[in-house]
Amino acid sequence: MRRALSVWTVLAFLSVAQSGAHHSGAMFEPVKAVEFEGTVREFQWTNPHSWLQLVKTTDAGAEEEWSLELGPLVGLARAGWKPRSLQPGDKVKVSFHPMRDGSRGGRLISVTLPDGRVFNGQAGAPPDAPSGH
Amino acid sequence: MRAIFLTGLALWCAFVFSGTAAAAAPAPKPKSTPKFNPRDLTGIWMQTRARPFPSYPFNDQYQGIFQQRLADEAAGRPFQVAQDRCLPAGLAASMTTGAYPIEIYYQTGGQEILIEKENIGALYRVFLNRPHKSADELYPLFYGDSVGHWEGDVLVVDTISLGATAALDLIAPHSDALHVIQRFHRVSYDTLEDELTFDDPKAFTHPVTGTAVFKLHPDWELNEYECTNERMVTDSQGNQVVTPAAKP
Repeated sequence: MRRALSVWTVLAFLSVAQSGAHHSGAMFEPVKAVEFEGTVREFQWTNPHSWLQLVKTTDAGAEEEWSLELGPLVGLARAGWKPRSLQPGDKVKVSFHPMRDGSRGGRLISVTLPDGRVFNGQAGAPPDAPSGH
Repeated sequence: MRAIFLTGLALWCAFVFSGTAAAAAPAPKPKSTPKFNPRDLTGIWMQTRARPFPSYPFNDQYQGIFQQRLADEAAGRPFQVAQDRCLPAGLAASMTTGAYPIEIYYQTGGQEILIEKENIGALYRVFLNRPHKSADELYPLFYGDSVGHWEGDVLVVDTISLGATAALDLIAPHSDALHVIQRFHRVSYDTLEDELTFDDPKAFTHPVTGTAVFKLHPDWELNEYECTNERMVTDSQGNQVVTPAAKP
């Protein structure tokens, strides 16, 4: 059982490590996914990655800023993203693989927009494309 | 009489509605395959998920390097490939893990073939009108010195001087002696095969051959791609971290 879990974990790790394809994914938790709601501070429509700067309000009322990595803009655009798909002040729900070191960041899995649309955060390559760079 | 009427009505309905159905859904015509010239490789191509190499025949020295990189990766200290610094991925990594489309152009009457990768707009040239440059002219390059010729409908490309990068993909090592032979064959209108042979006498026990498959995307265009916002950086301890809220 332990061996099976180990193999599965390695495969999951490699999957996450390669999904974004520009660099290693070693800095992300390979399996763990975190979800919360926050407010868009800035959407950086850039290569080699786009970034979502998101402000989360904690239960104690404090504000925390998180940096979430997306795919490159060229891949996002082919998947239907637009440069202004996310606007400052938008209330969104995000799901992401958090940083392994516990810092406030991660690799975005998906974001749910105020109108209910859901975007894939790692649409860096078309569906039939291999991972890698 | 009633039976005759009902039978007639049923036949009429069957005739009318079968005709309506036939009119609404005509039999689809078989899709024609566009004609193509197998020596015309121009266009935008995207690599499929099929990977050309499941593994590499490293000698003991390079197997050790590979194992060290795997261990560092698992420890959160991944090997820094060239693209981590917004540099080109290099020829081998581009053809083993191509997550971005390539566009192929011909110029000088087909004597020079240009292959552009969308990622950072990297462009490499295949010369069909000259041999390799001499050793004293060459220096470590990302896409090397490439010369080509046609064997029937197969474009054979021979590339040397690939010492500017050190990764066959995102992690597997190669040396500055890497020699790449590509055999491009457009096997159908929308399919381009690239049979890759990697020969690295400093790193391998023997050459390896695998095939990368590309699909034509005639409705795509390459976008501008300037690497301006790499926020995954290596700190002084060798750990990858995110720079705080950088501006593009």
